[in-house]
Amino acid sequence: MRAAHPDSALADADRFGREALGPVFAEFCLRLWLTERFLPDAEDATLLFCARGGLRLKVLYERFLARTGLPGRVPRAALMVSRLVAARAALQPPSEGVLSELGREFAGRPMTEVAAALAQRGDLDLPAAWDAPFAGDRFAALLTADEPAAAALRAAVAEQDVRFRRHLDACTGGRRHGLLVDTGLYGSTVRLLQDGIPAMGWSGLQFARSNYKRLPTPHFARTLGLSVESDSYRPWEVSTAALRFWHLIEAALEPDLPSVRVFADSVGDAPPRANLEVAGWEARIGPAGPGLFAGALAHIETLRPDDLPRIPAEAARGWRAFKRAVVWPDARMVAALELADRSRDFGRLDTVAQFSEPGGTLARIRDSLWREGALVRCFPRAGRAGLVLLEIAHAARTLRLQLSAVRRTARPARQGAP
Amino acid sequence: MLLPERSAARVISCDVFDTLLLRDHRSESRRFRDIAALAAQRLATEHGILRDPAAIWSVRVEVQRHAYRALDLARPTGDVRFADMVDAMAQVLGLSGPPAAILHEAEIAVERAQLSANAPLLEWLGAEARAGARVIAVSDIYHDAATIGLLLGALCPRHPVARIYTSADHDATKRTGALFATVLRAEGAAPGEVLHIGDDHRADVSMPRALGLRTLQVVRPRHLILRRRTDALRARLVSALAPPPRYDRPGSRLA
Repeated sequence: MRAAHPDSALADADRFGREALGPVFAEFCLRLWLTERFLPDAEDATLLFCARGGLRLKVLYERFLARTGLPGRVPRAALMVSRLVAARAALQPPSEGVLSELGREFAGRPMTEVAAALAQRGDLDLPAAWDAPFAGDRFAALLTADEPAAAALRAAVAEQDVRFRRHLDACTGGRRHGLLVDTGLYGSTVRLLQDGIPAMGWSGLQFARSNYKRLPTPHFARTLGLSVESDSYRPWEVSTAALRFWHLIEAALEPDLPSVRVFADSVGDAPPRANLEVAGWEARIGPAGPGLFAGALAHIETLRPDDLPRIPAEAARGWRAFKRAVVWPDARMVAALELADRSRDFGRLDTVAQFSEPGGTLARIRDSLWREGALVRCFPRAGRAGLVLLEIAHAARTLRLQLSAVRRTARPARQGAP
Repeated sequence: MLLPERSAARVISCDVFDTLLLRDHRSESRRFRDIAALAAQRLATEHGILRDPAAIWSVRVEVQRHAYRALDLARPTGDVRFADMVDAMAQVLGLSGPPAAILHEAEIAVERAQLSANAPLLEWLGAEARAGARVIAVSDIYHDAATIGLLLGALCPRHPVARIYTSADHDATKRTGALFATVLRAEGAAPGEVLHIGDDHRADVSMPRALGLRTLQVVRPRHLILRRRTDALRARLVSALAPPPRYDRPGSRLA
């Protein structure tokens, strides 16, 4: 495939941001406003925009309110949090939620790796038992064991957790309902904070909500996907195209700042500072130049109060443009939507490439973060036929799942009939 | 519906929609479209304000959906007030004063046109009232008691309803049981003294029964339920197949 000129790819990404993402994010902002408008006991609530994707959602939302004149009534704050930080809050003692989250994130990895991620320290001299692959019950037993290395790990986790809670207090000002505004999908942070800090009420207001992890979802009753709610891509629900290339949404919204891993102790009365809060961090939330986020923000900046009634219809058009680009990409869109390597997070520094390189062609497509893009990249001429086959496969899978769901619902009714 | 000759209840509590007042075959989606069409027409003719009926409809759907989802986050036993929904709709649609009031008036006008009185039930309730029973209306609805009173007065002027309780007024719903507790307290009645009549299995049968009230379920004809579902499906298909309205925004290249 011939590489597109970088400037033209950047211009295409900017246009995609303006014409597809912008209207979709405007709809998200309108729905967020409606949610805070109708939230009972709003005086006891805070909108907590979660690092990192939530920080840009905060920028979009505040510009949306300024441009449309809609009044916000719930205080807003930037919450320095990550799954790692939320996991620490739910570790003493370890909740079922944190163990399942760690189990998925560190499947097959040694428990020393989990300990190093949680403590963000490499000097823990843990006994050999920690070298075993992660298992929830064993990890809980090792963590709570009465021996010096486990005690040091617990102390390191507790020290960080105390600092996070002080930061949280500064964000909420004593209000007891935290609404976590974030990109999504499973809402691990909501679940972990609900487990770890039950004295507060927690809700999630996410761009997307999806149980792609197939884990229990006790927090879903209080976690909304304001723009997308589905466990998988459904060809006939346009907005679920976001799940075909979720990293695109993440990449558009995540500023070039590190994930929150640690808090430094506070100086004086100031709350503890997260590693994300480097010099000039607030300026770095905005766009550095043309691109996906710059385009989306530019769309928000064009809004006027009398555009509000048009937002649902414009969002519908934006989603169609999004699906066209993501599910039916051409070589130009593949170049425009090329992303930098994605971080694996959870306290680790390694990254994942958008397009997988090792292995055969099919493995490269299967293991890529954007299979449709990888397919067009591998087969510039025949890729279109491959996309059709992929869409048929998705349609068949979705139909099969929906039929099974209907059968599951119908069976008890038949059994209960006289 | 088989009504007993006499209820032997001190208080008869009656659901409103699809019990005292019967909806026709139209689905909620169709009703919202009819309301939007009437509001758009009145805004244009009375105030010269042009609003696309499809935009009014989609704003209504968005507002109602997210209002209830927000409620579920913090107070799932409560209810949303229609006045708040109209206020939010007016803000999104850029309306205020008399034009904003049209959103409310169109809703009531369409409800009046599409509802009819349940004559046999009202006749029976009248006889019960004359025999000494107190008849009240209890509804899970975003409207306030005054609006329900207006509809009842218009559609069945000699109704025997002495007091109206709505979930919006009391921020408590039947489907969670909270409104029944309020009603029992306000009426000074023991659960066993109350007969509740309604159509919804959860809100009007299982929940009041669990609280000790006697219940009677009004069942709407199956063919009507089927027609409503067909109408809702038709509305969804029409909505899915209809091209969205085109707007001329400078710089937009999306078709």
